[in-house]
Amino acid sequence: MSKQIAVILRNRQAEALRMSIGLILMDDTVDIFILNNHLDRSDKTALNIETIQEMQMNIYSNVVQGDEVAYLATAAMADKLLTYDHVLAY
Amino acid sequence: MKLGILITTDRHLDQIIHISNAASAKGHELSLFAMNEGTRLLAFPEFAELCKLDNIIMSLCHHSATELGVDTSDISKEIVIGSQFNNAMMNNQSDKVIVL
Amino acid sequence: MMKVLHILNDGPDSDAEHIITHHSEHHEVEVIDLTAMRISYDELVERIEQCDKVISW
Repeated sequence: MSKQIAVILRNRQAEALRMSIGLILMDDTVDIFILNNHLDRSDKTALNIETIQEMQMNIYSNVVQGDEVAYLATAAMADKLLTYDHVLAY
Repeated sequence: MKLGILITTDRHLDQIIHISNAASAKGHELSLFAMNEGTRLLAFPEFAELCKLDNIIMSLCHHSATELGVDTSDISKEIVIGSQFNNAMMNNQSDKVIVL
Repeated sequence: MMKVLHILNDGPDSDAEHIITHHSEHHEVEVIDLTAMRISYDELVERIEQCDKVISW
């Protein structure tokens, strides 16, 4: 059965993004959340961010930022997290 | 319950051991996947020996282990030297997943 | 209303606190701090099994 997985990016974004892409290998839905932070756009994350966009995975943050990151207020984010089967803070 | 434990740091060895033992003793199915700094726990025999528990699947991210110079040449054959696919399988098949 | 278990791996956490505060307004929330365990690991496993959602921080 397909699962819904939320990954919360914390202080190791490059690894968390790499893991997020890996998690779709079983055809599960994976969305990414950034709490109180910006998406790390660096050489270490560029390819993974590009892949995430190609795979049409959602990225949400409670901090307004670039086009690829949808804004979600903290309360809405808290509610949304409870709709997933697994929430992985990384 | 099928419990997945995603291990991304080397800071919680005691908790991993205690939770795994408690879950196994209760008859739960366990899956452990180590990546990033979590692969460093392989150096601790008490971690590697968790593969001997009943109903447990242990795997690790070979990419992380290689990047961190973790020696995987001598680990039990019951521990799968795998990839993020093993993590995807764990998450797909587990009822609950915790991160340590 | 869901039973939501928050596990604090490294003690109190400000990011977790924001989410826990919101969850507490609408759900039955339990917070377990692994750095100050007041229950046994057997009980922790039971809590994980019995909750609807678990989030480790």
